[in-house]
Amino acid sequence: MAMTMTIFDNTISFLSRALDMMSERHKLLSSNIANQDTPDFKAKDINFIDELRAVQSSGGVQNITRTNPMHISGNAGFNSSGARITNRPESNSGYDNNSVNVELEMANMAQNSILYNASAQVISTKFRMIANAIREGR
Amino acid sequence: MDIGKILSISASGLEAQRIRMNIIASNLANAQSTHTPEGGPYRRKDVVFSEVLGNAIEKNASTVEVKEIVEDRRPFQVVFDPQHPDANEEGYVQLPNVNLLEEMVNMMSASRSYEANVIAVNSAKSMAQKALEIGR
Repeated sequence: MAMTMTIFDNTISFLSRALDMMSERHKLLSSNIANQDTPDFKAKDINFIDELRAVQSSGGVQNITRTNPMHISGNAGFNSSGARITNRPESNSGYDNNSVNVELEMANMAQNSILYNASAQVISTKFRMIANAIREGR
Repeated sequence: MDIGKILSISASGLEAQRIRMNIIASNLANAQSTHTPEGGPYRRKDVVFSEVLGNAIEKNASTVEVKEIVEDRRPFQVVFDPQHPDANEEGYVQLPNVNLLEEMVNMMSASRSYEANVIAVNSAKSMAQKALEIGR
């Protein structure tokens, strides 16, 4: 079997993209929680699973094509991690027209933070495995 | 991980809720005040929250601020109490338009919102800590 794998295979780059995306998501969730009492505020989120699949299938960073020099360069509409930001579908906006659902935000934040810690742990383990191989297991 | 931005968002939420708590405390403390510098009984105050948009790239993660503090225009409570120094000729006193029950409910809401922001801060901190452990 041909050994085509480099030292740093794409697990690490994929996971670091995932970490970027999760930290971006954490920012949005914090913003939703901070604005939970702001009238007319709309909750925002990243559909994490969809975005991760998009990264996996494209295999790299997606850049926006500029068709007009007046367009903002870089990743407008996307954030630094390249994930699309969506407005959460309206549930019951209530009297102040605010779509933040605190329970949902807290649940998402807990999930996000566990996934983040787990991914960081996996990257750590990956590095340790490589280091172990370099030291020939000694 | 942009922990600074996350912390500043949550801090803005904490600050806004703290200001709201101050106003509620002021309403409760002045629930019986019949004199104010502007004259007349104390008027109940309320905060107005407003979303603060970030710059073009960060436009989706917004902080919050207290835009203004408004006075409640609802009528004062009128109580019959001829012994009161501020009673009029018919014996009626105008008391502040503060409703204790309403203030207590607002206080609970502010306190829960504050806690939610604290949890967001702690969660961001633990994530940053974990990121620092990569490669250790």
